[in-house]
Amino acid sequence: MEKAILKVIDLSVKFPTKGNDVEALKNISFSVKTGEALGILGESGSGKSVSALSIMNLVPSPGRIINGSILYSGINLVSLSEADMRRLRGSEISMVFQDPLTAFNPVYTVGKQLLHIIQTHKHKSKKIAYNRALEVLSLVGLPDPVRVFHSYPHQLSGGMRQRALIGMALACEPKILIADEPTTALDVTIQSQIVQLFHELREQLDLTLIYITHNLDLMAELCDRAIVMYQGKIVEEGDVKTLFNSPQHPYTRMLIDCVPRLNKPENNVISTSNKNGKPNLLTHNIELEQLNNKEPIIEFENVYRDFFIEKNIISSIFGSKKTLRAVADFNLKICKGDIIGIVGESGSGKSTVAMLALHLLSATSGNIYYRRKNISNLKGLELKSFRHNVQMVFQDNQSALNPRKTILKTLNEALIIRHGSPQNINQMAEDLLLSMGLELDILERYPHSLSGGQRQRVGIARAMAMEPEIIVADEPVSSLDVSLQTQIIKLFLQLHKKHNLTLIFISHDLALVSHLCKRLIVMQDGKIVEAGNAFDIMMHPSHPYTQNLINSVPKGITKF
Amino acid sequence: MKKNKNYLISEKFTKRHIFLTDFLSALANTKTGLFGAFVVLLMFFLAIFAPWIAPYDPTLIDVPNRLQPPNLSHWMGTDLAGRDVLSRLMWGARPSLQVGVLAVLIGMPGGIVIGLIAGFYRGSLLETILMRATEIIAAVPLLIVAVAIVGILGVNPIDLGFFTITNEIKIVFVLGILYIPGLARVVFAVASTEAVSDYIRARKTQGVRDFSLIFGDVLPNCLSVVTVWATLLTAGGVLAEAGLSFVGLGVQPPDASWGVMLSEARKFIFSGEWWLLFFPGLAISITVIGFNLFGDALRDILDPRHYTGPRID
Repeated sequence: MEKAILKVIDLSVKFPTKGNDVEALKNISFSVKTGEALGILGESGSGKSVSALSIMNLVPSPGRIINGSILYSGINLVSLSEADMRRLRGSEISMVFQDPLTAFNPVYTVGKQLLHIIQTHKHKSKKIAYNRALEVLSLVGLPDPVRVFHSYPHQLSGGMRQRALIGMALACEPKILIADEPTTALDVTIQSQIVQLFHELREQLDLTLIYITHNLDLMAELCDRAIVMYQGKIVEEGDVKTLFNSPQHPYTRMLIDCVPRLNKPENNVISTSNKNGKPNLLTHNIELEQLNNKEPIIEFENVYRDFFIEKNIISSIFGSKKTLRAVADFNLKICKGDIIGIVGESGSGKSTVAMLALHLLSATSGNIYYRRKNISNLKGLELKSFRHNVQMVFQDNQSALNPRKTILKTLNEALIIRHGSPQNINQMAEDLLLSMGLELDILERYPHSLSGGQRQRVGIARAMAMEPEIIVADEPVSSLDVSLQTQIIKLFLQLHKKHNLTLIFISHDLALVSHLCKRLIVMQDGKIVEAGNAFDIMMHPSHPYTQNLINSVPKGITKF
Repeated sequence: MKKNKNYLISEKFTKRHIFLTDFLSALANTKTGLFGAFVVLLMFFLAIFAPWIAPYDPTLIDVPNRLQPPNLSHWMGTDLAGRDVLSRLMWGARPSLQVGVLAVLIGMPGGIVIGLIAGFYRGSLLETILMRATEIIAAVPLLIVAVAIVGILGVNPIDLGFFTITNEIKIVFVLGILYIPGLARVVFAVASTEAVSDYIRARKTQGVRDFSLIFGDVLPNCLSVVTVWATLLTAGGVLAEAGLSFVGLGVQPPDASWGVMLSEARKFIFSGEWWLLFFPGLAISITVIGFNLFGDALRDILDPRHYTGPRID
């Protein structure tokens, strides 16, 4: 049996704030064996990132380690001096961060930053360091290491940046690699490539991996053992297989149940299947046909939308405007009561479609009709009624609410627009909040003091205050924890049933969309590549891009 | 439900209370900010109550007691004509703060409106016109234009019959107009990021007009920056007034002003009457530093990203 390379014993981290201190970690202990891949699983605020940062001795101030020890091959990292710790970081233990763009310094080339790390730790000549840098870059599977070496971070794509970052972490041959949500900011197809890369690296190098994530399936694919964290404590620990097959702690069970999966719709709490539990192809098709006969509420007809990339005097005089085609030849009919899912990776034009449907952007060519009327010709009362009937729910719940307005004010503004100034306006706002499953005591609060889930509910409440026919939701749950995602999706379904709401649901998460939506549209590079019944597409994808998307989704547990 | 209503009202009541105490305790936490606030308050106190608290008439000539060093009856000594330096210092706070505050009040509306509109319509022709126009004004050096205008119009008050344009009013207007570009730029930067945020989009989908979006939603989010800038610009105004009075284009002798006092004390730099230079110089320095420190502290307190107080939940 290999011995533990890293041992965390009784670690506690405290963040002193005014009033009461927040204990981010409460006496946690775990160990990692040499060559093992340990997964740390938890939701935001569970302390998983703090535990990784305390291994690196980088707990962000004002937090500090108040108790416990971290033993790395016999050395206690907690009591190590800053200079000694700095020598360890990067060369013995290194870390990969979530956002590959902010993890690089934008003013230096990737190569320069790589060289810097190698030279600081290994004190090699520039020539040797340069060769090592190229070696590392090709190790992480970058196709043209020399080009990447001379590139600035912004010149690389997200996936390439993350590869380069992993390369940087591996440059000095560390024993332990800590990866803090390294794929969360990436598209699914790139995510699966990075996971594959981790697999290869573990085989090639004798690497110990600590992988922090909130994505169960991803962890199941990658890790041998896992610990589950909840509110600063370890609630469950064990090898991945037993953890998933027989979770002991209710929190772990809840986490596993919450995740929407491609292959097991019957397991799912948010399954749209009918009463007997099995999704019925026939009823789906009938519903679809019925929809086709109905009057479309919104209709896209050969819609194109271009963006000018370079817009200056010279290019406009010579007529050589560089354009980017965000949406091309887009055709779609949406009927009342429909739930349509639009799926695609970043840059596929799905958000642009949302903006077009809301008439926040106008189409470059083609027509968009709302109840048979071209929305670019709407004026006065007609435009007003269009505005009232089409509402939006946003991805970033933080920027979706005005930070200077209380929740009550935000809701009342919407209610006043819809109803004038009714006497019982506060009552209406309260009813609205209650129907969103929120407590009334948040009415007088400002958005920053709410949690992400609460803010998103307020965002939905604001949209519902207008009593709309259509809600366009642009990635409404992607910034939320899995357990919250489920709740928000349930809320959407409730509202759909209660108000016969039409939903346009935009997401990159195929599994999620396939459970919520009856109809599915897959977009790539601004075009619809596949459209139809959600269940059919998930079971029998015809387009290679769709197949690729479905294959890229981490299957996790289903592999057992 | 009734119980809830009562709860809400009490919550509302305590909310303001919490905010004010939060503000004060946050200010108290930054030592420099507290010092700045103290200086700002002191200067306003002196300027407002100078007629009542000044021990002597600032223009009272008392030749037998001229050039006395600081003593018990004249705490800061007397000047060439035997006038009490302490009294002149107190009265001198008036034109300084008048110019500083009024210039900001004149420059602020223009700067805010231009910045807001340009920021909200970023990328449009309107933005180009507004921002290029402010850049033209920004290219003009502040003090030189002030000197030129006062030079052209002359230092004597212009009598319009119903209204007299004093020299200070001229300076205030010139400074105010020259403040517009800086303020517009700052507001523009904030407004243009706020204008593309999702809550503005949400309001657009509600069918709200741009006018009320700009002034109802974007403006409140710019106010903290504007407050900070206003404080810093006030310090600039104090300096400008002192500079203009020093070269003889501001407050006219025998009226008291820190610039005038420094100007009159020029002859005594090497002859040993240090109190004539020291006290007005100190007053200007402390005021400017105080306003700057106060502005820094305000920025830290008002910016939600710097917010260190307890979360209200």
